[in-house]
Amino acid sequence: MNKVTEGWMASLGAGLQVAFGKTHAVEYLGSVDVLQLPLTPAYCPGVQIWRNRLIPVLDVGRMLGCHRADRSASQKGVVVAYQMASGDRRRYGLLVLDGMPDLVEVSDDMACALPEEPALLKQIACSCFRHHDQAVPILDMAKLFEHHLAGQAR
Amino acid sequence: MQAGLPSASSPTAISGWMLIEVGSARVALPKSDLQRVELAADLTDASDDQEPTAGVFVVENGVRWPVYGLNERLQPDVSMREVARICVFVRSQDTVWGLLCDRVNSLEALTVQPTPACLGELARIASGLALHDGCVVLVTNAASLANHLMPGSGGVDHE
Repeated sequence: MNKVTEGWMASLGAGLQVAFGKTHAVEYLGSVDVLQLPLTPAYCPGVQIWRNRLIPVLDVGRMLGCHRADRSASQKGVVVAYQMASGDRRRYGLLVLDGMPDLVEVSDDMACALPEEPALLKQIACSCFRHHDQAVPILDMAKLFEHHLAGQAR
Repeated sequence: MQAGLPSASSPTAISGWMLIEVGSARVALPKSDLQRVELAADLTDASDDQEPTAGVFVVENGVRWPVYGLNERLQPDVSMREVARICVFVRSQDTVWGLLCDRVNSLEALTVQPTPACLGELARIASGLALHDGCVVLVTNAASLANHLMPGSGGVDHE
C-alpha cells in the first residue's frame, strides 16, 4: 500500500531544498535575530531568544556549502521541535530558510536515494524523496542539532 | 504550525553562581569552584614561567598561582592583563588558578538549559546556556575552563 504523509518542504537557497516532518514545525519567524556566541561554527553562530528560552540558529545551507547570493537580507526561519528519543523532553531549534515552507504530500513511491553530494547530507538526513525531478532530503533534527558532525563546512 | 509549547520543566533552575564578565561575554561558574578574588593590579609578572600565563599571584606562603586571560571571544589572551580589573581564583582538581575579568558578581539562581552540540566548540566548554538580564550566559565550571585554557592539564570534561 502506498502510504501518503504530509511534510514541510523549504528552500535553503542556491536551489537546495529540504523537507522535515509536519509535526517538527512549531512557528515560522519572518525575521531571525541571532545573539552571536563565541567558539561557534559559521553555520550555527548563536542563539535566538524564543518564548523565554535560547534556541540554536542553524543555517543548513551554509553547513552544506550552498552559499546564498544575498546573506545580508533579513533572515527568515522556522522553529522546530525534536526529541532525542521517544518520550524524551522536547527540544527546540531554529532553521534558517529562504522563505516560508510549503506543506506537501509525500508518498512512499516518491522515495529515492540521497544525493552523493554534499556528503554531509548522509549525516543529517534520514531519507529522501523526489519532487518535480529534484531529490529532497528529509532532515533528521536530532542529528542536525545534537550530534557532533564530522567534516562540515566551517 | 503548532507542535506544542515548551515544557516549563525542561530548563533547570540551579542556585549558587558567580557571574564573570569579560567584555561582552558572560560566564557563570559554580560558587563552589571559587577560591578567592583579588585586584588585577596585585598580580606579579610571570615572564620566567614556561606557560603562557598573564601573570601570577604570590600567596602568603610563597605559592604562585598562575593567572590566565580570556578575551570576549573566549580565546586565551595574555594581553587581558592590561585591561582587566579583577582576578577570580578558582580551584579545579588540586590546582588553583586565576582568570582575569572586568567584573564578578554573585548570582543566586540561573535557569540553565543544555548547550546543543551544533554550537560546536562552545558546547565542549559550556555545558549550559542561560538568559540573565537579556544577555546569554555561558554556564561552565573551573575544570572545563582549565581544559580550554590549559589543554592537557588533566581537567575534567563535562558532557
